[in-house]
Amino acid sequence: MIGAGRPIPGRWTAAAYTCLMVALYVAEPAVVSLTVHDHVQLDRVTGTSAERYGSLIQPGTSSVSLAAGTYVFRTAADAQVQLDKGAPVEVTAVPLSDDKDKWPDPPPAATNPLPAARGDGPPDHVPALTVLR
Amino acid sequence: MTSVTGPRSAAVHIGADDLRHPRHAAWARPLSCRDTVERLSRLCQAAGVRTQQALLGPDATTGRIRAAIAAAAAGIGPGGLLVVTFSGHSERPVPGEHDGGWCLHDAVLRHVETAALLAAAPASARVVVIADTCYAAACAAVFTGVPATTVVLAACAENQATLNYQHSEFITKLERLTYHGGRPNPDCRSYTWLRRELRKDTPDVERPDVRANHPAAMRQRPFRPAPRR
Repeated sequence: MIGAGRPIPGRWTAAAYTCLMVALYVAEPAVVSLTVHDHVQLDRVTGTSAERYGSLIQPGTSSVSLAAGTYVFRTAADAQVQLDKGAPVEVTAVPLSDDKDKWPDPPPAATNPLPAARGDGPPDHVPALTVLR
Repeated sequence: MTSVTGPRSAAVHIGADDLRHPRHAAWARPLSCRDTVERLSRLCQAAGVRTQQALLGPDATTGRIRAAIAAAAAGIGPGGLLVVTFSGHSERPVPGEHDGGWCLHDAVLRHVETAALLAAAPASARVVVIADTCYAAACAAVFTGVPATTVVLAACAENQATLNYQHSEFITKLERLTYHGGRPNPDCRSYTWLRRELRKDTPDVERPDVRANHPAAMRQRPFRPAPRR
């Protein structure tokens, strides 16, 4: 479990900023199983930009076929990514904050840089990411 | 200010992609500012806004932005239309401290300051604010006190963030829904319609919003000055 429930003290309000950003680094075409609780958009990162990848992912569990590349999605609730054993996919939770030194483990070589948010401060609450193999 | 017949219209476009304040200078440079300003200038031109000013990069200082908004607000006259657009980073409201603001080249322009500048517009005028940034709808809560009818088109809610891409999906969608190719979309008859369309097919974590300081404003045709009396 990565990034599980990290509350930021002092800024928790009724309209809390709750967000988990997940990056998937896909070395070879693969199918992943995503379990989310809200409507989620998967973006394929291309250089310094991104393009929407497929339709909105509905709440529940969905199988998604991914070509080689870097993908990101954000969700306001806990998420689960299930990978086949040996699938050439790395999954990591990405900090959304202005602390640029707090990046996760370096992504695989030759992947695109991940996008940052256009605002200050981390979320009040970061939902949990569970990765199953 | 260009003299035109009938209500006057003006636009101030802010693209703050060069931040020098110590708190902001280390942040990732906003990538979509210039594309957003270009698209919104085109949109405003198609909407008949003849007087436009764009303040980008090092020109987007608090001093110049304050002066531009104040002059435009005071200059549109009764029944006029003022469009203010912002693209860049934002600071989030902190309860008990401040209501948030837009990060400009040298400092933050707090929403409460912007509201005070917009208050120079006559009560009969219309103000449209387009916020293409994180916590975008936060300014709407502050702009409720602006005397002119004020509508905020926000890229996301006050507790949501947008990602730093080269093109803003919110802005490209807004352009397509209102003045695609410079021609008015006949279906875009009200802010209520525009809100519904902007929110369609968007993820829960980043959903655009349209908010007005008077409920009746949601029935207005977007980007139109007040009708002549």
